[in-house]
Amino acid sequence: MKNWDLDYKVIDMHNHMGLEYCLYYPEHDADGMVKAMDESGIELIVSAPCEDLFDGSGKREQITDAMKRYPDRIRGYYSVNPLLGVDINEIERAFKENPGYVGLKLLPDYHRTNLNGEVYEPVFRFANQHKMLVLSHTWGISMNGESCNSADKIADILEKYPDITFLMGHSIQGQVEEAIEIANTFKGAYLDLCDTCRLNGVVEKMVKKAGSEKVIFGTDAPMQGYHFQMGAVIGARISKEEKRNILRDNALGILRRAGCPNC
Amino acid sequence: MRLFDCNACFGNEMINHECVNHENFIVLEKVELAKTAKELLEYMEAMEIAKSLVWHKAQYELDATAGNQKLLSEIKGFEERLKPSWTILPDITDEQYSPERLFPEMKKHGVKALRAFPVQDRYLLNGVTMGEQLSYISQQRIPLFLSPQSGFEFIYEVLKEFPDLTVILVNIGWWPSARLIYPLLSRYQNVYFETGDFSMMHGYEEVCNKFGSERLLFGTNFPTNTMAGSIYALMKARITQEQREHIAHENLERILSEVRL
Ligand SMILES: [Zn+2]
Repeated sequence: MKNWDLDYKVIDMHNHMGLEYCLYYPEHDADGMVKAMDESGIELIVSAPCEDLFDGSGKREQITDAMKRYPDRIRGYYSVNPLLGVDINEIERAFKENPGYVGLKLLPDYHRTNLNGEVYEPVFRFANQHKMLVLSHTWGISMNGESCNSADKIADILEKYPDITFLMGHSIQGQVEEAIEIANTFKGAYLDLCDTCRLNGVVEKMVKKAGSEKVIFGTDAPMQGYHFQMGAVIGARISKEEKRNILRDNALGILRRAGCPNC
Repeated sequence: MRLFDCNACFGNEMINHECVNHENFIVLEKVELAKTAKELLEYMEAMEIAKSLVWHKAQYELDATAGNQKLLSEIKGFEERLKPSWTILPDITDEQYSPERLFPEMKKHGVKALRAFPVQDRYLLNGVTMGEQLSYISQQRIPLFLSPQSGFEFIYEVLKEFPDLTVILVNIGWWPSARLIYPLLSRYQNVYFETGDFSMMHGYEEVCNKFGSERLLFGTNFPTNTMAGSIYALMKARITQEQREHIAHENLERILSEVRL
């Protein structure tokens, strides 16, 4: 019988919270998230709630509350929406007040803003200065047929800002080969498995071509459950150690190394 | 847990592989293929899948008729574990798909399931185009596998006209589609859906509670998706062992056993 058991807990580096993008799914608040994590063997999530990405109120209460209530289970990304303007002082203040924040989250396709455009520039300069972690959504081509976060734009940013730890959310789906090349070229670039891990043979290809140390586990929960994507990694034809790197150890390393404005 | 995959595909690809993110949003990405039936069996072996209801890529991207024949010839010798499903076309152009010709052929070759790709094959799946065929499929309880990759509307339309049709929704897309799938489950007793893309948080639990475990069929949506994802999701779902067995193989076995040819 094939062994599907893990003797360690998993860390999810690409996570949300609350209702997202007009989809239906049950249990999406902090309590529901932690319950689902307990059921699925997830120790820690790094989350960017949907209200921070799609709601202009700028309150960010869902994530700051969740980080306070579950400091060992939930960390946060500070989401930057360029349509609302970028205020670096405000980001600095938020990190100071909320030690649970570990990085920045960008969503260029949905905000219809080019990753290497002017608006993001102060954000990257700031992140680079503090050697921060940035999770950006990346697809080769978006629903509108645009390419706000395609491989060329990512490479452009990483050339200019080499001290950022850059998680390529979804590993530039549609351009996964290019994402692997970027992971091999830039020290700070990582492949995020969110959604993309389900595609047949992709986990194996990434591990073979970029090394398991460059592959990070993420799920988009609560928009998705945890099990399907965990299964995609656990069932992959890679070694036990490589699976552990992806599901846990790489994330721990990134979280340990990631800088923040206060440290 | 004995596994009978309701949706696996093999065969080399001549065009880019289309991965459905959600209906109407297709990502073109390279995936690893099972080029032959034997390669597919090797994947199944590794994942401990007992049987698969399969189709050949040529049935979609080359031609239905040529693809259907290719399927039969390539699964020869493996029929115990690989069960064939054919692509159907409207008989107004392709006469070999008329009920009097198609169904005896299906019987002869042990084909108990059909797939339709109306967008790809350039027709509308409705009574005007193929009323007699669809009535027969419905009466004989032949499961018709449909993917909503170009949208759910045509599925709603065909079921409005043929409410007793046995429809298996496959390749449902990665984003949660509950608002599109639940109404069909609620209205039509013979609608089912495949789990090869089903990753919704607490989705198994919810569907089993609302509609019963009879409405889900284990599938892998291979090779778009790795087989491991839907296996692990089913294995870990917080449902009873009885419900898990329904989904893993019993529902599909029952549907195929009820086909009258
Ligand atoms: Zn996401």
